[in-house]
Amino acid sequence: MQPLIETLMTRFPRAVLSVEADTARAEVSVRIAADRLIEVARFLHDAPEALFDHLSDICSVDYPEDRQRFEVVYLLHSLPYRRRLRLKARVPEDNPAIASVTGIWKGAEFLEREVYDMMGITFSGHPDLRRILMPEDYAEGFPLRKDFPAEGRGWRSQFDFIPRLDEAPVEQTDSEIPERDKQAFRAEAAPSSSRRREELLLNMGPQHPSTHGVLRVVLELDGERIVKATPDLGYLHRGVEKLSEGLAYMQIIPHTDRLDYVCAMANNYAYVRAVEKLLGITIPERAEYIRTIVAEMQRIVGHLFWLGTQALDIGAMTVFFWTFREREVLLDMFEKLCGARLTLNYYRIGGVDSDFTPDLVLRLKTFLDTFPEKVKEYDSLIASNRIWLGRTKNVAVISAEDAISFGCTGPVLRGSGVAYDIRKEEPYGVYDKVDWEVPVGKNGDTYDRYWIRMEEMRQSARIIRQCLDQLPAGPIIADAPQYIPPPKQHVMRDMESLIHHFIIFTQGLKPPKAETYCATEAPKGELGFFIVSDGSARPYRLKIRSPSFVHMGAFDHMARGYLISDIITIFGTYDIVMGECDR
Amino acid sequence: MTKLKAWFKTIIFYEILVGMKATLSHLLHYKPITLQYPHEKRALPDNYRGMLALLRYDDGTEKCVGCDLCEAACPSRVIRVVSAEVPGEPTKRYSKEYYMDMTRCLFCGMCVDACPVDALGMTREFEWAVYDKRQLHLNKEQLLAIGDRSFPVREKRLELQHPNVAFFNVSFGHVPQKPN
Repeated sequence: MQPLIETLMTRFPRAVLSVEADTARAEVSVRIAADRLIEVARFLHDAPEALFDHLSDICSVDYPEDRQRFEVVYLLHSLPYRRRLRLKARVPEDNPAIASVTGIWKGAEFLEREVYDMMGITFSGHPDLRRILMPEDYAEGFPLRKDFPAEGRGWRSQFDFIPRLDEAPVEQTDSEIPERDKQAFRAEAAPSSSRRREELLLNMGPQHPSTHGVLRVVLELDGERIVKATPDLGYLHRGVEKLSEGLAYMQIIPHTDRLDYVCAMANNYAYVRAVEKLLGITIPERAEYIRTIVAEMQRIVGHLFWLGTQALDIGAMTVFFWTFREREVLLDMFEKLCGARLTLNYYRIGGVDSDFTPDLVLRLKTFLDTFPEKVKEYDSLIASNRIWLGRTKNVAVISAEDAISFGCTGPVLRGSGVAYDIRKEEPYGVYDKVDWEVPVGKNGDTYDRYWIRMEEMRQSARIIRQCLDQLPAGPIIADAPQYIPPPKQHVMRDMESLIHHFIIFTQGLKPPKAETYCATEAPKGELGFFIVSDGSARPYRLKIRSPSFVHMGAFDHMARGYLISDIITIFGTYDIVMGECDR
Repeated sequence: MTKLKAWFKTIIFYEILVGMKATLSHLLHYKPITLQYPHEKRALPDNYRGMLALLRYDDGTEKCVGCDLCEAACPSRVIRVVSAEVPGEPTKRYSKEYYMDMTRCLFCGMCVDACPVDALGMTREFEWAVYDKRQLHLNKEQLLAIGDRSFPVREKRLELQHPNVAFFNVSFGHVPQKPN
């Protein structure tokens, strides 16, 4: 990393303002002048010694006291060199504008729109800078600014969506939407050809059974072909990032359950790992094993859920029932483990909530004995079925270059032939102590992603089995009295534990003043948490890099040219969950 | 030969036959896993995170000491505690009023983790659908009633469990002595 920083400083002496290396967390951030962002970004993307080809996320932080109030943070990632870099640029309050990097990383389009929506920073040169999560007519301002109250400014109380019975229904004067409002959903003008072309705007959603949440897509159709697909996000936006600025670190864990509600454990794990990286605490070995086992169980649950719903959306009903049968077995185990089935809240900062019982280990082993058979059973139902092949082969194809440029991760990226799995690249938990493989696809179509998810389920079963065999004895929560509440049975017995207990639950834990980004491989892709801590008990800024949101940025690219009946497959191929997408 | 085989498989719908074989084998080994829910109910585990309840000691006194820790730990501000001194016993406190707004509860169990005297418990009740949201604003009596019907086995008073905890919630004059 050091040679690259030196090259950067000699090549751009006036652009690079400072370099901060965080040796404890192995992170480097480079502060640059905002007006020279493009040349630095272009260099970092193209230069053979840098090759930061993957843009993980764009985040914005508000510092109201500073002269240059807003900070835009670009989280770059180099797939060939396996390293990360943070690029930071400050913009002032009176003219919060910065150049857009959509020309360098295609995935920046959605990420920049989110920054604009939440913080009000305009990106010059952005092709379609509109609000993305908040409603288009949202007039209260930019919600993630520090001077914006968390409860809003009262716009919500004026809603009149409940019709009053004593009033006559409002007369609809013109049913047509003005042409100006349609413009955002129109494709750029196509080269004129001899073919007759007549476009139709079709509104799909927000309530559609196969959108896995509340998602609206405006499709521009030419006959049955999709010319442009514009996803309209934000129907499930609950403002978790704003909410967590007012919560103590421990209190955020149950809120992360609600991000990707299909795989709550994965969210817990990602968040808890980010906080642990911030605090710099080490986890006992048994806790690491339990975490890995539970995360892999959740991966199986997530992929089973995907398989069932994807097959159901395409038209095969049986698979759905069968996958839910196995999912039920795992959910019962979760229930036994932590008392809930979906909103689990099982991980704790420094460990886990409860220990495995011998009975649970036995149940898990019995499940693993039969599970590969069940996966074979699903395969026998659909893997060679001609309808399934016809509806998934060569549908939603994305090349490896495009997938990287759009920032895709997880099975979507691996389906295109890029073997990027955070569990292998930056091993956490005990993934480096067990033997497993990363399945990689070839064609980058839905069928390859299906194959990858099936294979990942088998690999997860392998990981769980090895972990169960190696499971050591020991404590399940780290011993760090200033951050972690003492064991409950000690609380009423000795004074010191009682004092720690009271202090941690009333004041919260106070991490050092730092910032960190921590990525975890969730079933859907790279789930990252970027936390800025100012040394108080609450995060100054918490940014969630959710795979579903980033994947939706590639939706238009992947949907163009397909038939309208394929649009369902294209949604499903990302394994999208809107709770995570809209946060 | 392989071409002929593939052609033959295509015309006899071989993959459908394979799929139907899997489906039909389930017809033979049919074991229903569905529960007829309102009539039969699942056995829930002991640590199930259901409705919250306030608990009592075996002599019928409330466990809650009104320390507000649950209020501080709650991530969605469900709980409101008004604590007061026990009349006539200046070292002892209790919760004079205790409210829970269950419409906002996340059922995360943080309040139960936070309670130093185990005065809160999560029951196995989950059928709490009501017609009026206001019925989910529970006060202390309702929460104690839930605890009474869900936890019939009550703990001994804390002072009796381990008599060296005399620094918290204990008025020294009234400490019942541990029976020998």
